[in-house]
Amino acid sequence: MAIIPELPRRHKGAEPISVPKSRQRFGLFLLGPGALWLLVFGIVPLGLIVVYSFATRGEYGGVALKWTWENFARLADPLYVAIFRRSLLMAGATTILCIVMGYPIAYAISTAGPHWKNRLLMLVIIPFWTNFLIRTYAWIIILRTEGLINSLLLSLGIITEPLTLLYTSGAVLVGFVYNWLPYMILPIYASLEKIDRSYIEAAMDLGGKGRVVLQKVILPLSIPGIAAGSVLVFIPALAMFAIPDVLGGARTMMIGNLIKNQFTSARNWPFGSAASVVLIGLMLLALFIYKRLAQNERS
Amino acid sequence: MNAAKLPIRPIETHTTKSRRFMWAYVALVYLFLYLPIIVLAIYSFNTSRFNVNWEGFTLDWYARLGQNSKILAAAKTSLSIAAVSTLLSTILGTALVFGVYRNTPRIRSFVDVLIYVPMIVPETVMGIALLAFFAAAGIDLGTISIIIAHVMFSTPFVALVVQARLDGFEYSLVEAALDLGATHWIAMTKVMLPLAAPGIFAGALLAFTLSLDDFIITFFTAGPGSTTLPLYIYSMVKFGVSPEINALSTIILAITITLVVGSEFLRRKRG
Amino acid sequence: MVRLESVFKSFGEFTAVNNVSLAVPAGEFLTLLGPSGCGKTTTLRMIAGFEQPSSGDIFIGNEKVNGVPPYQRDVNTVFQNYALFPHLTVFDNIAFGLKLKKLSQEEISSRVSWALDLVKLSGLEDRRPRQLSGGQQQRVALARAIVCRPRVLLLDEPLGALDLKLRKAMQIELKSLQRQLDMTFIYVTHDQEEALTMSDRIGVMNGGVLDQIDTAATVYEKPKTKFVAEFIGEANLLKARVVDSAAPATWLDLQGLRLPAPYSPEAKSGQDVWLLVRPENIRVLPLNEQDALSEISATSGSAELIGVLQHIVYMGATLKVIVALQDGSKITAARLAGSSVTAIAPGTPVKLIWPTSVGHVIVR
Repeated sequence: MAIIPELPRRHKGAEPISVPKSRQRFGLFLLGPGALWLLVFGIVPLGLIVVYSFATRGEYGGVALKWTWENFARLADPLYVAIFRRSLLMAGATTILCIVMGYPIAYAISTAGPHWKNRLLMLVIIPFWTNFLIRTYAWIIILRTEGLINSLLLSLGIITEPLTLLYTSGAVLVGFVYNWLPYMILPIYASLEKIDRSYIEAAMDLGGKGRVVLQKVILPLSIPGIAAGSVLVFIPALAMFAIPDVLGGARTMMIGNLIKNQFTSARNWPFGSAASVVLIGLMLLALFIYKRLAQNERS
Repeated sequence: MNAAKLPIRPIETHTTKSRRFMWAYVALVYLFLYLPIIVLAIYSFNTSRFNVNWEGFTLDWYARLGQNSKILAAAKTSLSIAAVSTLLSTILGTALVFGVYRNTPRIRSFVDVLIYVPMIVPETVMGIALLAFFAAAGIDLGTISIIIAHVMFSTPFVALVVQARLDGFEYSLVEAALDLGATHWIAMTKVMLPLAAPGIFAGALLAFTLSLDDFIITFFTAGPGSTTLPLYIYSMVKFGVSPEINALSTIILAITITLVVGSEFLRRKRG
Repeated sequence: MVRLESVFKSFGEFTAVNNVSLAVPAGEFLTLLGPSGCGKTTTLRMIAGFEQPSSGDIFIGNEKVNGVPPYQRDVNTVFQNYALFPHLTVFDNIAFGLKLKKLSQEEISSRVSWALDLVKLSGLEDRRPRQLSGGQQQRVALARAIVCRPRVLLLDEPLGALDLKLRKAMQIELKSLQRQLDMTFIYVTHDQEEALTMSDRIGVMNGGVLDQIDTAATVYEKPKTKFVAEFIGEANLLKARVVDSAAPATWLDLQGLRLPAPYSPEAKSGQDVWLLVRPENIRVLPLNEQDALSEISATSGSAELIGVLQHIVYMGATLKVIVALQDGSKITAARLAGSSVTAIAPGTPVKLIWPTSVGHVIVR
C-alpha cells in the first residue's frame, strides 16, 4: 500500500515571470494527455455523482433525470443518521487510537540511532506490503469464537464461555487501527525529524528535563504531523466498506457500506450518490480543520 | 557548525527508567503489528481445516493452491493489468510534470487540483463515480475499465514522485540546452529525463504495487471475467475461513518481504 | 569559574578535542577562536552538557560536572541559529527557563521585562519569533539565556547570521552587556576580528588542540605557533635559522643576514624557525634614498631586506605593498594611504626595514 508522508508541496524553483509561447506550447503538449485523463476519468465522474445525487431512481434500477431533493431528505431518516454517526465515531476513534499508539512509536524511532531508525521504520512498513484484505482476514483467526484469544483465555481458565469478539464494532475498530496505524506513524515521524535539534538542546539548557522537553517543545512542534496523519486516517476510514464487511456483522454498517450497497445490491444510484456527496462534504470539513491547524502553527 | 559534520547521536533527554518504559510500549505496538501476519503464516502449515488447535505440520494447503486454476488466473489478470497501467501512468505522470515546468502558474495550479482530487477523495467514492461514469459512457466493465481506473489513480502518485525528484531542479539547465541550439524535444530527453530517471523508476514501482494491490476501486470497475487477485481474495474471505487463504497470504507475504529486504540490502551494498 | 583539565573528545576515529586544559576566572570574556572543525564548538557543548568528554574533567565553580545533564548545570547557551521556540511568543520564550524554576508569576514577568529592557526589545513580548528580524531574534536568544542569571553564559557564534554592520554594533553591545552584568562569557567564533574586539582573553584552537590562550595583544604580537600567527591578522613569516640564543636576544640567520630578534627561550642554536613580522611594522623605501636610510639607522637595531616592489593595493585607509624577495617569497607591508611609497613604480628594487624589536620568533 502506498503511504503518503505529507501532502505535496507546491512547485519550487525559479519562477519565470513570463513563459515564452513556444515553451508553453510544448509544455501543454506534454501535460495534455495526463491532465485530460485525470479530468475525464477523475473529475468528470465525481461531477456525475453530484448530478446523480439530485436525480431519481429509474424503474429498473437506472437513473432518471428528474430533479429532486428527495435523496438528501431521505438521509435525514434516523436509520441513516445513525449510520453517519457510527461512521464518524468509528473514524474518530480510529484516529485517536492511532495517535495514542503511533505517537510513542514515531517518537521512539526519532530518538533511536541512525541504523536502528531505518530498521524500525522498515518494520513499520513491511506488514503493509501485503494486501489489506489479507491483513484484515488475519484478525478473523485471532478474534473468532474458536480463535486465538478465546482458546488462550479458555485454556487459562479466565473465561468459561468463549467471548463474542468477531462481528462487533470492536473488531472493526481493531481492523481499522491495524490498517491505518502506519499512516499516522510516518507523518508524525517526519514532523519529529524536522524539529531542529537545537530546540531540544535549548529547552534542556534552560532547565527542562525529558518530560518537560516532550510536553512543551516536541509535542507542540509535531502538531502538523499529527494533523496530517489524522487526515490520512480519518478520511479513508470514513468511507471504508471492506473491513466492516469482513470483521463487522450486519450491525456495523457504515457510510461506505451504505454507498456500496446502493450501487450494487440495492441499485439506487441517486441515493448512493447523495450519500457520497455528503461524505465528500465531511471530507472537505476535515480538510478545512486540518488547514486551520496547520496555519495556526505557521502564524 | 562543525557539529553538523560529526556523527549525529541522539541527545539523552530521558532517564533510563522512562526510556525502558517507552521501548516496552514500542515493543507491544510492534507485536500488535506483527502478531496477525505471524499467526497467519503459522496456521498455513496446520493440518486442521479449522485452525483451532495445532494438529500437525502439512504443506497440503500450498499444494492445493498450486492446483487452483482460479487463483492462478486471477494472479495473471492482476499482473497484466498492473503492467499495462504502470506503463501508461508512468508516461502520463512524467509528461505531466515535465509539461508543468514549462507553464504558467495558473496552469500549474490547475494541474495541482487534478493531481490532488483523486488522491484525497476516498476510494469508495472514486469507485462508484467511475462505475456511474462507465455506465453513462457505455464502456463495458472489464479489463479495459479497470486499466482506465488504475491509470487514473496511479498517475498522480507517479507525478508526485517524479516532482519530488526534480524538486529544486534548475530550469536554467534546460534553457542552457535551448541556448546551445537544442530543440525542446532534445532539451527534455537529454537534460530533464536523465535527471528525473530515478524518480520515474520509483514512480513506476509505486504505480505497479498500487495497481497490484488495489481492491476498492477495482471492486466497482471490474466485470465478469476480470477477477483480479484482491477481488478473488475478497470472495474467499467473505466465503469463510480456509487454510488456502493462509497459504496464499504467506506466499504473498514472503515475496514482499524478500523484495523489500532484498532491495534494501542492494541499496545499502551500493551506497 | 570554568575549568577544563586534559579534556579529550572523540567521535569514533575522529578526535574532535585533543587534550584541552583551560581555566576561566569569574567575570572574564573568553573567546574560543578557530576555523571550522577545530573543536571549539564541541568544547562549548561539553561545558553546556550536550556532549560528554571522552576523558578529562570539567568543573563549573568548584563542582565537577562530568555526567551532569544540561538541565542541572548553571550555564546557559545562546545558540548559533538562536533556537527560539517557534510556537511560543517572545515573552514565553524568555520565560521558559524561569517557569521551569517554578518562580512566581510576578517574579517571572518582572525578570522578563528586565531582560527585554536590557536587550532593548521592550514592547515585543507578544510577537512570534518569525515576526522578528534576525537581529531581534538574536537579542531574544540573548535575553532568554541571561534571564536565568547563569554563572556562565555560553555563546556559539551568535552573530554569525547577521550582516556586517549589525554584527559590529552587536559586538560592542555584547561586550558592554558582559561588563554590566559582570557575567562570565565563553564565546565561540571563527571571526578573528570579533575575537579581538570583545575578548579579555582569546583561546586559539586548531585541529582539536588549544594552541594558545592569552590576551588579544599577546596572541597577536607573540603568537606561539605558526597557525596562530597566520590565523590572526596578516603575517609575514620568514624562514630563518637560530645562530645563537641567549637573553636579551635571539640571533637569526635570515638569507645570510645576521639579525637579532627579541629573546625566545624555546629557540635552540641551529634550529629552523620562523620570524614573524606584521605588515604594519615594515617600511618600504627606494634603494637609493640615503636620507631616509640614515634616519632609520639612527634608531639603532633595525633589520633590512632587499626586494622588488610588485604591486600596491589600495585598501582605503591603508595601502598593501607586496614585495618579492630574491628567493621568490613575498612580503606584505601595510602603509598609510598617504605614504610616499606610492611614488615607487612596480618593478623597482626596494629596501624593507623593520625594527628588530617587533620581530617574533616562532619555533612551531
